[in-house]
Amino acid sequence: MSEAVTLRCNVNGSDVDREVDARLLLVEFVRDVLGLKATRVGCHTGDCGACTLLLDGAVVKSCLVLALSAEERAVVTIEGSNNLAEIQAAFVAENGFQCGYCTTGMILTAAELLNKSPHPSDMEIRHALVGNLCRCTGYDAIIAAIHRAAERRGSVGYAVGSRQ
Amino acid sequence: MDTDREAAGGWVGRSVPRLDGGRFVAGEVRYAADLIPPDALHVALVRSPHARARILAVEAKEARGMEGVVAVVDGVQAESLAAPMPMVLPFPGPGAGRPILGRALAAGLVSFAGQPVAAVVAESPHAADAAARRVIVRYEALETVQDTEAALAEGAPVVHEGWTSNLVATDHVRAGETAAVLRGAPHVVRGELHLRPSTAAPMEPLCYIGDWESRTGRLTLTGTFQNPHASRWLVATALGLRESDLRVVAPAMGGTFGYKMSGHTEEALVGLLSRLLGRPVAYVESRRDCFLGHCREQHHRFEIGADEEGRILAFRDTFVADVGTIGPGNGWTMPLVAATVFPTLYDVPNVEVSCTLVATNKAPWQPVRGYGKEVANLVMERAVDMLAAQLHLDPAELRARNLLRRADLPRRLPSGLNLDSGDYPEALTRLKTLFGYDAWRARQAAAADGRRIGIGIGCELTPEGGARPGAFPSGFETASIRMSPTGDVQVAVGVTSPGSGNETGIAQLVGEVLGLTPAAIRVVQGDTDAVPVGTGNASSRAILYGGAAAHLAAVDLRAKLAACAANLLQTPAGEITFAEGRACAPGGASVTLAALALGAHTHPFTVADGVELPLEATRSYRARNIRVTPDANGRIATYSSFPYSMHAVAVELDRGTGRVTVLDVAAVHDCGVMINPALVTGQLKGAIVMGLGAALWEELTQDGEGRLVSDRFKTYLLPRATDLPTIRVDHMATPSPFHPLGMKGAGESGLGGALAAATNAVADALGALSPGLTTVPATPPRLMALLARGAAR
Repeated sequence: MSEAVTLRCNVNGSDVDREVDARLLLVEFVRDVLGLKATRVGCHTGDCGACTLLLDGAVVKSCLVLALSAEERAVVTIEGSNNLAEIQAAFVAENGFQCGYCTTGMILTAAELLNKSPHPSDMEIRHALVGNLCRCTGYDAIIAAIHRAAERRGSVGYAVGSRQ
Repeated sequence: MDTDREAAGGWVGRSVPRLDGGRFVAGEVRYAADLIPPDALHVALVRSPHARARILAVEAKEARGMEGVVAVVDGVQAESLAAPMPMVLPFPGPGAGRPILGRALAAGLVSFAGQPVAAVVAESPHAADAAARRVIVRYEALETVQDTEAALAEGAPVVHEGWTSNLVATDHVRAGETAAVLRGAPHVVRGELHLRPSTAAPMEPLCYIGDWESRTGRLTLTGTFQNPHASRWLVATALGLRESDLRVVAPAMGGTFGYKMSGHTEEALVGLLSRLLGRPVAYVESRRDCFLGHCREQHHRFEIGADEEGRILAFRDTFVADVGTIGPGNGWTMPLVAATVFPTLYDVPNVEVSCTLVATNKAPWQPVRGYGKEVANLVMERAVDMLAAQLHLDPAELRARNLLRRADLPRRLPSGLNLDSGDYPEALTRLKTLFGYDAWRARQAAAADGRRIGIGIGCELTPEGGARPGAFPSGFETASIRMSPTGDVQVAVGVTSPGSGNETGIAQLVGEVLGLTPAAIRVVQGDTDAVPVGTGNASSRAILYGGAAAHLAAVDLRAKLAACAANLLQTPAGEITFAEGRACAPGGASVTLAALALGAHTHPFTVADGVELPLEATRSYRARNIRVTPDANGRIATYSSFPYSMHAVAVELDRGTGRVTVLDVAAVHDCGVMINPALVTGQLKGAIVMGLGAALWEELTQDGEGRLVSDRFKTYLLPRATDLPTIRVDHMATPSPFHPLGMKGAGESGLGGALAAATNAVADALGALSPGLTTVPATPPRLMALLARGAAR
């Protein structure tokens, strides 16, 4: 690789120190360098949300972020997330997915919403999901899953961090 | 089958959550691109910028010298390394004398913009992409044909080499005396409809990985294979391999919707390159290239005639479909299916449908959910709505007067298809209640000036279980079930899962027969080394045919287990019942299936006395209600099942911007017996949203020279969560008399009905301007143009 540089960051609670190509996208770093495959590529243009992950606790589309932007920051993917079990269970209970390709991004986005708004309305949920495309479900089952997760959790919230 | 139900554990009809659901939501499921080996090479394709051109030279010296580049292969080299891919459905073009051949890389002539011309293979995707941009291809641009009129004109360039014209195929479906009846009908309405191209756009684009093992001389292809066995056949033929030396593996797929059916030439290309280079080779399609998949583009002219009471007397539709270039896949056949669906759910004595398929210099059609059926429903429903307007009748009322009655079924359509069962008027009545039709009409009437509410209905007939003679394989699916010595049950089926959850439905069917929970059943799919030959995924067949085969195989296995239990429990086998993992005698004695299985394997002379071991069974289900003998009109019947659905959509049209807001959507659906109602609802809602997308937002666009403009989700607009209201659905369940379990298929229903209902709703909102609504999708620019014309009048 012609433009190798050192990237130091924290991924899912572990410090990472790797030589990477300076041109690498964060989604490529996570998937291809670290082998964390739950973060997916659907468009490479920031439109679909399949590559959603958390950067310093905020949901971002990792195809729009250079890996080097994560320098000295914390990256959390669904593999390393805590506090999601109830949302995940709700997605299973409500059939909030079919093919599953968008699902990890949907769940991380749902967690961010529920953390800000523990009992969102339908419209709040729809607006929160606007950056995440699903081609299978028509979204209703996803929205039902998020309502279910909200009911289960009460007002505790869903601050998501890494497990470690 | 009643006895089967009695012995059942009650799993059929229950909304069992997805098996392996926990792995999906944890992100542990692996899709093809997740399985690219670390030592794999990556392919980037050099694509033609011209829609039609002679390739003069491919210069790759600079590209070959770039960092990480391993090989650059052009079409001429590819021809020396492998044969072209044959067609899935062999079809000789006009005057050609032989079917189209699927070349992965063009040699000599390119026929559409975006056609692959050379493949760059490199150590990383980035290296391959960078080098692909440095491959210099010299072209002599040729005159192109970009629409069907130009393609059919005298002296037009012929798209396919060796053909004598661009006329691909025609079909004519006739019943009665349509022309004469239309001449004499008291009311006749004429209309036209341009359907612009749209595409499946699954969230996961194509991905194929070829892995040639020189030690064994075997090739493994892992990827987005909707039809693994068909792909095995096509690729083995292209590469000159025995089919048994090719293994095709389809891991979890990120949506298919027809797009991942076999016939993409990259399937063979990665195999060719892996064999050439001795390393795994991966092709991951970009989102842009995923939008090359062209389909649905067609132009209909229709007439509908009725008497004074609103009884439809005759219907005529003449349409021309722009099928682009013909590739090895089946996508181009979709208009032929469309022609067979008329006059859908209505009792129309005189029908005439003529279709013409024309080749142009555009990308090959890729199959898409609906498969032409959605188009027939759209056209029919537009015609009925326009007739209602002329008659000053409520569109729901006009439909009620013309729908076939329950007692009319089974009913043979003019095309030869034999409608199975249902209660169409009842479904329409239920829809009106569910949607609140009268309340919506009242709200429409009360809407303040400037607000334009539109209400549309769409009735949909969705022929399923396609079994076209000459297609491989067509009207049958197979399941192999086996019970291991510890009682573990595995069922291998030739139908794949596109992500719909059909594996859960299959496990329910098997669990029901054996008295086991669905979670106890391991369903194996998508591996040609491990499953019986099958179609994969198409035409709602996974549960309809694959599930029926799994049921039959489970019944056979249960008979073996019953004989073993009879030996152990000293009870006649016919009295053994199965529940909660046990085989039970009437007196209360029972044995676990695990103990039975171990006993059969370790004590074959006693426990399995009289039983043919192993504890395995393979059964096929062959479709009924298929007819291959032509009827009096020369028609055969290639679909077995006829689910239907009724849809209502309310929209608001913003007259200042042309924007359409979807306010409400409701549907009543009947796919016969449902195995897992929640999964059926999921399929239906997903299809409805695709229909809304095709009606309002989704459109593939090209520039004047055939180059793709809608190359990302910013220009090809998929429905987003904020574009939609909650969709309300209800199910009826009229069993099919032609299926042993009463099923009809549930993979496509909803698309055509929602497409029609939304289009009719927009027309309703346009009021007097609605005759101008002749192009679908009804995008804001089109609607603005219509509104502006109306204002100028």
